[in-house]
Parts: sequence; structure tokens; C-alpha cells
Amino acid sequence: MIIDVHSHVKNDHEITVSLRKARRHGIILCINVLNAFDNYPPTLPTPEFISACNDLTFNVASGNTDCVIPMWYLNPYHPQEMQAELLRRVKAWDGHQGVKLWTGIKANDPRTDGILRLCAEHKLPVLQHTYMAVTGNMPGETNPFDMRETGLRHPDVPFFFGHSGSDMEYGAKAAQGVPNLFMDIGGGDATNGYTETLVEHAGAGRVVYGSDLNAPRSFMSQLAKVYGAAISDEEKDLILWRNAYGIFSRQNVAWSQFDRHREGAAD
Amino acid sequence: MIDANAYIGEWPFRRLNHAAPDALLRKMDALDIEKTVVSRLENVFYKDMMVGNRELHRIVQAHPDRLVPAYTINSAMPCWEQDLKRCLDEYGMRNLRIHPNYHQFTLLEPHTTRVMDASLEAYAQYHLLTRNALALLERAQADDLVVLLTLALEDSRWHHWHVKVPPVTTTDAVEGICTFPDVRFLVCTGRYAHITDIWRRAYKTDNLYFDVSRVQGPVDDIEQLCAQVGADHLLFGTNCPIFYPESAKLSIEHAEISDREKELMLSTNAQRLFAL
Repeated sequence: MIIDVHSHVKNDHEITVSLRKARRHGIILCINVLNAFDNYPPTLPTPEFISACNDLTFNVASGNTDCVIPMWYLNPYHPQEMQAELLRRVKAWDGHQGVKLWTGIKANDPRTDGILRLCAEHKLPVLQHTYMAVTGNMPGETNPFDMRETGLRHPDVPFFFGHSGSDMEYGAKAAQGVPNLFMDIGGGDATNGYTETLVEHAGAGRVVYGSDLNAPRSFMSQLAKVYGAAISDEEKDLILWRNAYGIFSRQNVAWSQFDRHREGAAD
Repeated sequence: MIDANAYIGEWPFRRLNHAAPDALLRKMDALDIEKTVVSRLENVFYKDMMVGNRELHRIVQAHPDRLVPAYTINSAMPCWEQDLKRCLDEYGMRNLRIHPNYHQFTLLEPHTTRVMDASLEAYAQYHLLTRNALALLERAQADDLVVLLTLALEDSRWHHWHVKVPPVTTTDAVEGICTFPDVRFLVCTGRYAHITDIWRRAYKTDNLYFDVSRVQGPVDDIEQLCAQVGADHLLFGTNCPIFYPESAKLSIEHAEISDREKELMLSTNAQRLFAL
């Protein structure tokens, strides 16, 4: 079994191909729709836009309960509306679930605090995009320093540290001593040494497989970061599924719908 | 299986797995890669290309059945013609590696009309040594060399603070390719969007090939490229040791394409292009 904590779809073609390949490879997809209207999302999506995306996430998840975990999309720029949106989604979904925060504002902005307190209450892992671009980050884009501060401020929230900061050396260092930060390997080129660096600094128990599927990555380029890494098979198992399984298991929801994946992939 | 795009050597900014010849050969064995086309990675930064080329020649001489050299020439340096002559005469050079961005030359002809939009202006600093770049490609044509045109080594957003090197633009690549339609180009490290863009704008020349080392999405990337470009113009390449070589290998092996298309990409195209 593999759990992909970071995947996206935005149109029928991506949904069809992604689910077919996920089933073929025994991958449970934590899916988030960033744009239900099939193009790049706006800088500051409105609550209505967010809700439309979550409707599509809900439809994909409810129609594919054997391989999809929904990650509800929230733009913390609208804190009150997003808390209401989250409560509505959590109430309507009885399986494993999580949250994906949009990059409208930084994760350590106080406006995210109310949302993150709800996540702690409902034991929801939070996927937070992070980046450290030498060419300059986008406005509101969370960097590894911001992520570290957020993790320390909300110790009861398990965070998927999106892209591990992109520059893995920044991400790995920023996560040191913050046990609720789980390094997501998804996104970015399959850079040799990426996973070994994360394991060395954070430990294999705090690294998780994510693909950043369709944004614009593929399964195999990101799985190569695990299969190609000079780490033990036990460490690879932790990254591919055991760590994410442990995080979602805190929600006390049965895993039975994923039994096919738990028994192993078709190939 | 033949890896059409890899390197041997160190990188200034971090330790690399499989940087040394023995480590690369062990990795090739583990992945069932029979032969690899290699350049000296240090030549990305060295000013004297012959230091790296000489080392590369020594290494491939020890493993002629496994390693195929692609020697690097920087036509922005004085007397680069002498470097090329030595590689041709003494090393039997058949494959030329160029790094137009790191080596600060462009493939563009001086008189070429182009649209200078905001994104391109950032690269204007590289449009300095056009004449020498053209002269190098003319030599490549005269000597029937395969040109490995490397667009980038890694994501420029992760570069060192003081060494920010933008990738070669697809416009530069297209105009170089179109100026020399008789030269066999292997465009290395293009992303999915780069490859489809170059292919569309380069008049679908028969002499144009792409390695898939940096084709890492979307979910059906290889399938889409086979449909748009054709498997006969796509080659398995790893960009090792910068990238995990498993990325390209797994991407092709698990693609939903025919066995024939996989065979073309994994070996047949490289055998033909490099006359192996």
C-alpha cells in the first residue's frame, strides 16, 4: 500500500487517468481540487470558489471511496467563512479526511489560527504548501521558517510540510525539533539525495510520500525519490504509507474500504 | 537499456550519489542500464573544458563497453576551436555537449527577429556570444556530431544565492535547431511543456530528439508525449547524478504505451542516434 498525501485533479481527464493509475499501483490518493474550473486558481479564491472546488473533491471522494481521501481546500484569507466551510465538510464526511490550505496568506498568519484549532479538534492533518525560491517567493507563500513557526504554535496539528520547503536543505533544517511537521516529498524534480537529506535531519518517521500529482507532477517521478533513495526498506515503508497511515488513524475511522490497497498493489 | 543523458563528477553545491565512475556503474548494473552517454559534470563550471574532457576520456577508455562520451565545448572561451580539434582528433569525439546558459552563449542568430516579452528580457544577458555559438554548431554539422543541448541541470529556483542561472529558453533552442536542420539535436532536461513547445515550433524536424529525464508530470506525461511527438523522438535519459535515475526509468516502464514504444525510448532510438 502507498498513501499519497498530496495530489490534485481539476478536470475529467485528470480524474479518470489519476484514479486508474492509482488503483493499478495500489495508491490511496489524498485528493484536493485547487480549481474546479480547469485552470490555474486565482490568487485569492473567494469562499464561493473554494466551496465549488470542495464540491468536486467531495464528488470524486464519494464516488471512489476505495482509493480517495478528501483534503478540504481552505483559503485562510477568509477566516470566518473558511471555518464554517470546514465544519460543513467535516460534518458531511464520515471517512478519513484532511485539509489543504491555500497560499493566500502565510501559514503563520494569525488569521489561520481559528482554522488550525478546528483541525486539532477534529484530528485533521493539514497539507501546507511551502517554498523557498532563490528567485523569490510569491506573496503570501509560506517558507520553511514560517512553517516551523506554525508547527511550534499548533503542536496538536499534524502538518504535511508541502514540498518539504522545495529546497530540501531549508526544509529539513526547519523541521528539526518540531515533531508535528511531516516532510512531504512531493513536487519538484526527482533530485538525487532529496529523501536522504530529509531522513537524515528529520528521521524516516517524519517523511511522507506525496506526488503533487497533476500540479504538474506524476506518480513515478516522485516515487523515484523513495525507490531510488539510499535508505532501508523499513524507512521506505514508513515514507510510502506507515507514517500517513498513523496520522489518519488518529481519526478512529475504519480503513476497511481501502482493503484492496492494504493487501498490495496489482503490479 | 541505454541512458542518453548523464554525467560523471561532482557538483559544487551538495554531495551527489553516484558521482564517481564506479558508483555510476554500480547504479547502471542495478537498473539494468547497459550503456550510458556521459559528460563531465565539472565542465558546467570549469573554464578550461579540456580538464574535464581529458578526465572523461580517461574514464571512458577504462569502460568502453559501458560509457559513451559526450565532450563539452564552451564556444564563449578563446580558442575553443582548439579544444574541439583535440576532442575530435585525439578522443574520436562523436557527441558534443553544450550548456548555453551556464556558458553564456546563445543559439540565436544576431539578425533573428524575436518578441522580447517580459519573460525573455530576463535572459537577455546570455545573448552575447552569438557568432561563436553559430560557429560551434557549424562545426558540429561539418563533423556530423550529435549535439546534446542541455536546457538546465536543476530547478533554477533552488540555485545557490550567488549562482542563479536561468534555463535555456525554448525560443533559443528552437532557433538553434531550425538554423541547423541537418544537425542531430538531443534536447536534454526539457519538461513536458518545453518538449511540446519546441517540437511544435521546430517544424517537427526528423533530426530532433528529446530525453525524458525531466519529464515528471502530469500524470500521463509519457503517454501524451508519445501521442504528440512520437516515441521515435524520445529517449530514456536520467540526468544522473543530479536526478534519481529511477525517475525516468519508472516513468517509461509504467507508462500506458506499447512495448514497442518502450523499446524505442529505452534503447532503439539511442542505438540509432549514437550509432551504438
